[in-house]
Amino acid sequence: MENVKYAGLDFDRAELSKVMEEYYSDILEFILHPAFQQTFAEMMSLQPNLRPTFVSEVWLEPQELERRGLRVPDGVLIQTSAFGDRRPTLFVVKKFLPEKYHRAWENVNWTFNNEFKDEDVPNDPESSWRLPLAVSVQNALMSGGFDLQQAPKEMAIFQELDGPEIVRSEKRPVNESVA
Amino acid sequence: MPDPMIDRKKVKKEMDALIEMITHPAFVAAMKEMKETPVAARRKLAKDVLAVDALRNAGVTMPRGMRVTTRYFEPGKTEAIQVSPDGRLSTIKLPKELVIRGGGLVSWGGCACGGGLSFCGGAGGSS
Repeated sequence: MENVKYAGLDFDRAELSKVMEEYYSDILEFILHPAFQQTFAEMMSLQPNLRPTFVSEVWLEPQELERRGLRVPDGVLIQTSAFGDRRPTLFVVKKFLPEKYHRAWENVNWTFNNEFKDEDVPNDPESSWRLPLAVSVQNALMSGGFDLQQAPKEMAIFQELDGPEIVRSEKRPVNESVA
Repeated sequence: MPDPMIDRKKVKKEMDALIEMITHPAFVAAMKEMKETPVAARRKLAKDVLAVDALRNAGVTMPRGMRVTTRYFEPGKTEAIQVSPDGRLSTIKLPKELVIRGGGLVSWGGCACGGGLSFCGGAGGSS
């Protein structure tokens, strides 16, 4: 890979690549741990609609992970998330890069999803840059077997103008079409 | 012990491709431009400068299945909500602990995800 000095930044491509590789490697060693693999295999053996509950009861419970022989390294986070393209995501293992690099990239991560067909999740800019669904909504819909793409946009988080808040669904059916 | 579902060589290969892509000068320049744009205008800008085709046209090698999207991270557990069989949700509230970073909740990131894969590498830049 050719090294390049980035305009307006005090680091170059070689330096950024090196630190990213180091941080990804920390994540990699964690997710390759036998206890992680075993827990991951257990989750993936479940029906897709049961996995969000497994995430909540296992991956987000440090004591349960310890019981399984898995200690989350310092600086590594296990979180849930939601994407604008509404892929059926389950959890993410993430590590923040040093602040120096945040003017470009802030974190590296490894994300675990339910299986999905590429054509079932839109990849156009309008769909990709929607406000994501709230994770609680996303997980409830996944647990109920609903199509995330059909969820009305009112279920998305809303934070750009007046600060963070969730726009409520107020009993709107998921499969109701929204203009 | 089940057969490993996460293969070291496969993950390392994907990681290397991801790093090559997201450290490309055009990708970094687009991320920097986003950071320097007011929050309210970022998603509009992103549709142009961080669109997959725009990055590809700028010379970035985009792996098959690459997606660049908004992303929102939940710092902890969420409130459980009910969904009825006909898809009706009960009202939910935003947990206070969501607001943990000064910039807000929505971030953006690149994620090299092939269709059907159950895991993928990614990177993000919070707003």
